[in-house]
Amino acid sequence: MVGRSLKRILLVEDDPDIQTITSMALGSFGGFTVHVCGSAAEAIQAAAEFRPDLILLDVMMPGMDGVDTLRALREIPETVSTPVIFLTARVQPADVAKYKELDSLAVIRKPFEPTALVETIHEIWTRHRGEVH
Amino acid sequence: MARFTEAQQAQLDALRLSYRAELPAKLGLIGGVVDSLDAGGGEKAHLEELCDLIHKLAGSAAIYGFGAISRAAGDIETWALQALDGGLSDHGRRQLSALMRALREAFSASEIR
Repeated sequence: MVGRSLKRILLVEDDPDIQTITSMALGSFGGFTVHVCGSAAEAIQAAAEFRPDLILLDVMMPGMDGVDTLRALREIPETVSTPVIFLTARVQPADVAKYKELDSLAVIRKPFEPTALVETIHEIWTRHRGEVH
Repeated sequence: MARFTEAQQAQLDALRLSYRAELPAKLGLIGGVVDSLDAGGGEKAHLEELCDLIHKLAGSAAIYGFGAISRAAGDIETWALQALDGGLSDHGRRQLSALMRALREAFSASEIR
């Protein structure tokens, strides 16, 4: 999956304010096609049809958190191997180790700088394409 | 960092202005929860609600470029988490009043860069 070009991003984030600025950064600044979901349930429902190249996944969400959302997305054929980047303020070493165990590409620490987000994602994507090839 | 066109910068500025315009409502909600805490009863539920609201504010304010508001909100979040663990004393209530004052001051001093 990482060998694909990066065009479609599924953003899973429950905070409407962060949804707004993140989707603007990704869409207007990055030129990506972005689908925003406010919950795990929405993401699970949308994932198969949207077929994202990359999933940006908030960790702390009410109900099903990001970690369990990822597990659920891995059960869906269309997202079984879609690269995932976690978005979280929880970046203690134990937390990061847990995210890596879940086969995520990277963790972007919150708060992030929206003007730098696209570049950060491109760097992560390029690095992992290099690792795959 | 990426370079932005004037149009993109204007879009970002507009979004930040819009976010700032909504802050009084967010602070009002938080103030309402603090008032409920002061009124007594349902302490745990109110503290959890305060944690949730203030955590969101701390995170979003930083992303929108309002660092002082984010820090002031983060101080309240730390206070609320401690209160959830250790209970709410008179001293704690006075601390919260001071922290809320600091949050309002941070908002008053905020401006679009």
